Amino acid sequence: MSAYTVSLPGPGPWGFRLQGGKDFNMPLTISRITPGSKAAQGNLVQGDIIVAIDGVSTEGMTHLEAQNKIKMANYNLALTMSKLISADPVETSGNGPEHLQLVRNRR
Amino acid sequence: MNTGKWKKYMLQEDEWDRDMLLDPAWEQQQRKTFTAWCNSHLRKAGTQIENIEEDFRNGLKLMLLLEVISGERLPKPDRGKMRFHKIANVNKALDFITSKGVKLVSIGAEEIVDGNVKMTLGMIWTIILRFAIQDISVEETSAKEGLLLWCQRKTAPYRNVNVQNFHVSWKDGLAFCALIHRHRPDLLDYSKLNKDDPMGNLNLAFDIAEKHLDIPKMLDAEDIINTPKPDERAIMTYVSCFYHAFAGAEQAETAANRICKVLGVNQENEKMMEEYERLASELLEWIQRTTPWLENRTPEKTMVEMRRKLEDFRDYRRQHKPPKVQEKCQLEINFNTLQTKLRISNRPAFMPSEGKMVSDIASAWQGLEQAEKGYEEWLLTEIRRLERLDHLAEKFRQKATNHESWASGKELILSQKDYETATLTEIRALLRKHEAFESDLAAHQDRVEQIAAIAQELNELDYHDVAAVNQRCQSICDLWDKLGTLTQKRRESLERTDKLLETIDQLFLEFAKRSAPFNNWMEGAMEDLQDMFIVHTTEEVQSLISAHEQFKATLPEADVERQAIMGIHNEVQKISQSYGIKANIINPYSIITIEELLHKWDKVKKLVPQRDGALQEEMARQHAHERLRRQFAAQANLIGPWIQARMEEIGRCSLEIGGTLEDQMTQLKQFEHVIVAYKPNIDKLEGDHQLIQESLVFDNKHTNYTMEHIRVGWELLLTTIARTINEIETQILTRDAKGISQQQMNEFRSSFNHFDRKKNGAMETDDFRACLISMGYDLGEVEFARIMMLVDPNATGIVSFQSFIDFMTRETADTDTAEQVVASFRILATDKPYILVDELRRELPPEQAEYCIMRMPPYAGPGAPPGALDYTAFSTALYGESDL
Repeated sequence: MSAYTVSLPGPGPWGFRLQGGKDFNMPLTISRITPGSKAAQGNLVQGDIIVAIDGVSTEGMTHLEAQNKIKMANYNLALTMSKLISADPVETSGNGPEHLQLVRNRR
Repeated sequence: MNTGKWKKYMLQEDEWDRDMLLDPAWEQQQRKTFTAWCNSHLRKAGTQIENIEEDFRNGLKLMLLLEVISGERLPKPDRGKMRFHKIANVNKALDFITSKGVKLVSIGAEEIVDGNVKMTLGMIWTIILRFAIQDISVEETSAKEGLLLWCQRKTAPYRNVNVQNFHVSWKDGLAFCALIHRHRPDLLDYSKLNKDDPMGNLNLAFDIAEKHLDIPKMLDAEDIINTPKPDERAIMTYVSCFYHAFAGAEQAETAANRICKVLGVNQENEKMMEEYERLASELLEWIQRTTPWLENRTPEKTMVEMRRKLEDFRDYRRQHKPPKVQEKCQLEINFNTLQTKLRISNRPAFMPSEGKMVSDIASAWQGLEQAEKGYEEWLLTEIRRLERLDHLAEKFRQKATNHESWASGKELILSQKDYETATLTEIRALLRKHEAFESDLAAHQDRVEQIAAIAQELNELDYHDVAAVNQRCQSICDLWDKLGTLTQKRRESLERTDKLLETIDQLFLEFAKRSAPFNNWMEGAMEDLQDMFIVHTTEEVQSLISAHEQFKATLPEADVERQAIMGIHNEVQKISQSYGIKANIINPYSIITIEELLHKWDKVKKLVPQRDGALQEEMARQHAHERLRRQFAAQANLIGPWIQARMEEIGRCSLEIGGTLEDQMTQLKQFEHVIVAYKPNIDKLEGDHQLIQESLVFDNKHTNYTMEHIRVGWELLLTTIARTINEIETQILTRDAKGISQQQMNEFRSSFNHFDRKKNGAMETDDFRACLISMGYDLGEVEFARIMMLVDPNATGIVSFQSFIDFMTRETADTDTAEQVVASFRILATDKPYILVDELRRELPPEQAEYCIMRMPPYAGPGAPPGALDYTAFSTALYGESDL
């Protein structure tokens, strides 16, 4: 996980779309950045995960909570970001009909 | 020299001859003196002369005079009166004088017969000289000088007398007095004499001489005084009388003394001889007594006695001999002295009596000393010998005692039978101990030999108690031999026992080596034979039976081994019994006993048939199981594929594109019906399966299908059909809800099927990605990931058709949804950017209104009254997407 902190000069709007939240079972990410906005100037990367807002961890935050927190930023907004890890497809235990294995008891 | 002086005198006589006539005084004096002198001699013959020139003319008185003076007989005088008779007689006298060594020069018989005064005086002087003066010898000085010397010597003490000559020195008369006084101090008082009274002195001297010394007056005092130089011859004549008187007295004295001396010497000598003889006898006797004592070489038995002998000898040497030595010395001295004395005194040498001679004594003494030396040597040798003997005896005692104390008890130890009950290690220890003892014994060999050697020496040196020594030595030697024998015997016994125990040990080892694996084999066999086998196939039973048969085939071999082991054990028994080894024979290498082995063997033998039976039973059972299996398999092999087929049908159906969802539904319902109707088959199979399970059969090679598989397959079939139906239902709902036409559905379906590479009714991530790309989505990884999260929120990795449809339909209406809600709120908020609580309560049902009131954040924008709520934020939050 590569983390980095970005400090956007206020006030808002910052120019990014917040997506996710605990209630959506999705990490809080930046799903879109408005070109030329403060977010774009702040070198935020689309798709990166917001780990902390103004130093407060985003773990367990609902979308609304995160939204409020960002909106509460007085002047500068400090975002601690984390690069999105490309998710490997998780192996399933398979629900389809399995190939029947003949297991022989060895003596 | 005398002759020289005589010659000189003779010359003087010649000179006198010529000068003679010069001094008539002298003639006078001489006449008086010579007459007196002749008369002093003639009176012994009873005659005198009156007239010196007359009375000698016939020569008879002359001859008489000579006879008286010399003491010798002259030839008989001629008795004739004739001249020639007279001459003859005078010649006889003169011849006699000549025969006395006087050379008469110019004096002839005729002159004398003729009455020549000068001649006669001369002849008388010659006689006086020859017979009264010539023989005077004083301190080796003779004649005139001798007489003078005599006068000087005798008058030496008298200071006022100095006799230098025979004339003037005598004038004061003191010389004469001194002479008298010197010899006879009782005759005059010299101290009263006066030098100045020569007359008195002379007359005194002459008187005393005549009265007491029998020296007639021959000199006249007046003549002497008045003559400046008195006649020398006269003085000499008169003085010679003094000489002869005193010297004669002296001589007489001396003679008497000499005689006494000689007699004394004689007596002394005789005494000495007697003494010698006595001493010699004593000494010889002593030697004769002592020598045998010294020659006695009888040895004593003990040191004490010898020591005493030595002491005695020492006493002898220190106390008894020295005086004897001295005696001998004395004897020798005496002898020498005696001999010397005898020789000096002109006596014959002393001849000791027979056997007492010097040589006898010397040889006896030598004998004594030799005996002595020999004795001393012998004493010392003996003492050394006895000392050595004592020392040896003591040494012997010591060594013997030491040896005896060492040897005591050894016999007993060597006779022990401890090896009979010893173990192998004990035997080894005993052997080592015995080795040590053997070397100890060897070491003592020396000592025994030494003891014997000492005993031998004691014998050779003739020790007095040699019998006891020999006895002890003998007993020591006997015991020694015995010990040697016993040692050898013991060694043999120990070695033999050692070998036997070694053999037994080896056998034990062999036993252990073989019994252990055999035991293990038997235990293994027992285990195997009692082995609880779990078999599931007849083949297994068969292989067990084969194995058992194989095992049975090895039994004979095992039996051989058993017998061999048995044999070893018996061998051990035999050895220990036959050699009388009483030790507790335990096998140290093995805890397995022969009894154990035999017991196990019996057991094994019993188990073999038991197993046969068991195996047979099992075989039967396995056959039964096999039947069950086949039964099950037959069934399962039908059911399995049937389920498979149904599944496929369902899959196919859901994938089909042609026909409506309703059609699909109908078909699916039909399937469901069929499936439900098939259940009894499953139940039956369950029944068979139960039987199989009760028989504990867990495998079935006749079918690849297990009950579980069938069950699972069956349940899957059931769920699949239900799900699929549900899916269709959902699709129908979705279609209806979203207004998707059948054609759209079919398109979706077609795309989905196309990208469902695996054709299992689900797209995998890659499939979906490809699908999106084909639909014209240019997706970055991030966006794709987002989409994935949407379609596969559970991260199952597959996208179902439903999700796919949701996604596809959402996408087309995605952007509106949040906006739609915002728009709806705006309407309710009458175009305000915020909404009020009252408005919410008024427009929405109470529950929803409260929900919004609770969740909506306060509106932070300008110009908002208190209590204004931000519905935009809320709306976007609902969709999880907010623009900030």
